[in-house]
Amino acid sequence: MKNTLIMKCSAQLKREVLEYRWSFIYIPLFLSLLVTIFCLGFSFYWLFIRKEALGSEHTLNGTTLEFMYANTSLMLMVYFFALTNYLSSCLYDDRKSKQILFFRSMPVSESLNVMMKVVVAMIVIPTLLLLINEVVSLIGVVVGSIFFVALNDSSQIVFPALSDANVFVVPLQIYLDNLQGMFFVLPFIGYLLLISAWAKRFPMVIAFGVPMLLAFIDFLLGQVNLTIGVIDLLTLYGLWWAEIRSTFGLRVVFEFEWQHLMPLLKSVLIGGLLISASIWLRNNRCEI
Amino acid sequence: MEAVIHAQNVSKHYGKEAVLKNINFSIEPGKIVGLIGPNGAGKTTLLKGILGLAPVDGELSVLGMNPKKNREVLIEQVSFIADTAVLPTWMKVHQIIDYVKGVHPRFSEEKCLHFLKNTKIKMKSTISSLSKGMMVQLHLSLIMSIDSRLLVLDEPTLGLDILYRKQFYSLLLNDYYDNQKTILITTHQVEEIEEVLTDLIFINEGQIVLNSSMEEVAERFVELEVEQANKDAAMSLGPLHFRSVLGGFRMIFEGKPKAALSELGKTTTPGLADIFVAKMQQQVNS
Repeated sequence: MKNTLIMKCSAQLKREVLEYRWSFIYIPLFLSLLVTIFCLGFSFYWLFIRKEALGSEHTLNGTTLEFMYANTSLMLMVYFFALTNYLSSCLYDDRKSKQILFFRSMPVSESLNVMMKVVVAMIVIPTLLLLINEVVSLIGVVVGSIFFVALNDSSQIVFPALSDANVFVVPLQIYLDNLQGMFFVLPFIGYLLLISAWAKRFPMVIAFGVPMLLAFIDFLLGQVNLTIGVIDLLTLYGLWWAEIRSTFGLRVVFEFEWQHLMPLLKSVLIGGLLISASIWLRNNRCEI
Repeated sequence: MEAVIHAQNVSKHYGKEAVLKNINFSIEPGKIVGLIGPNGAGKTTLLKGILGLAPVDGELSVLGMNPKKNREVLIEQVSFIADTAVLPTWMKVHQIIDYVKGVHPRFSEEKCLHFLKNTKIKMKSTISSLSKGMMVQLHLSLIMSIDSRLLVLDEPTLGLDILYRKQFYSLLLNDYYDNQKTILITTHQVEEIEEVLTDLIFINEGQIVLNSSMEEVAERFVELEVEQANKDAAMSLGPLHFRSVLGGFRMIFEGKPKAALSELGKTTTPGLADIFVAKMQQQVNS
């Protein structure tokens, strides 16, 4: 009978993943399957129809990594759209649905509810990406081994590749980098949640339309040497992202440097404030 | 004994419009109370206040707590069904049971499975595939499996057919209610809950117009059926409500001695629906 906070968190996370299973699991899996089929088809074509052996640089590890990176790039885009849609609508949709009456009849605070959405964005999504990448790597290793065996290149079969294990370590590295990178994304997460909690209509349009409109106004003011600072702010935040671009699976391991500290602290602070504002709005707006 | 709900001078304004006007009442443990009023009377606003879903002015305590400030703790001991068909339709039956088990410390999965055994609901069904009646059965099974001290039902059987409605109240009384639990029900279907209630609150235009136990209601209100010859004599006693029926008139009196009235015609205890109409009309006329 004794429910712990961990049980509540776990039930809430399960609820989030179940509710958004199409955008978090099914669509990414389907697209990964498409990438896999495309890569396999390409390999078949290269090996059996063109009957050309792969170059010496194409080891099993190397080929599988290429395979996995191609999938990661696609998945990063898919999850960016899925997360943007999720964060900007999750606190809006349930206000517009009677289902909120059921969830509000359960002893779950709004703080826990909102924080679990942050956890979904910062931990669950990178973890799902890791799982998909590992599965894709495994398929790459197994299918690649079969190809290399077909080419009578026994040095590239599955066991040496597994003992090297690089193909399974790189997704993990990407995962850890993504986890770190999400702290820099916290203001964006908080901003979308706040819009989601605040908007009376079209949260996604407001989330992107308002900054774009302000930036356009700033641009026009810039023509007469005036500014409201929106373009500068967006540029600054863009530069922070550029600083940590390697954390998003772009093949360069992210290494924390002291120059990252202030942007990191500012991101956490601004993100925390925006998330707190979302929680406050959830507790103080009674639309049902 | 500490009141389960205690309201003193509770008010609520939306802009300049007062939806609740200095409401005062107390509900003791073990009661089944009907909160009855026409649309826009303030019932749902009052329930929102009780459940901590909206702030109200004045003093409102539920199980000794401020519902707005202590909502999370309070909801562990207060269950509610607000309207029908509010379950998340994208979940499967076993998933919603898992969810409630995860978040509610007073939920018994065993009880819930026992209740569901007597229905046609399958564990693997998605909620969207259930009929409205089955959805309410599932919701009630979930809620009855929570060991709460107060159950709030807001129009729980709206849109259900008569069989499901009867079954709903029968389950509630036989499998859930005991003298430790308090139930607060709002509904328009007054006749259906008449037999179930221990207490009654009529609310109209944000004010309580009647707050009484069912025993008191039976003593306080009398329906008199009179013929034309006794009409004027009966009217002179100031009926709360008057209507023509085939071959005579029916009048409802409040607080008049039954013996005096029975000299003028046949006296009975009026139904809740008739008392409700009479009280609402009285407020309109006053």
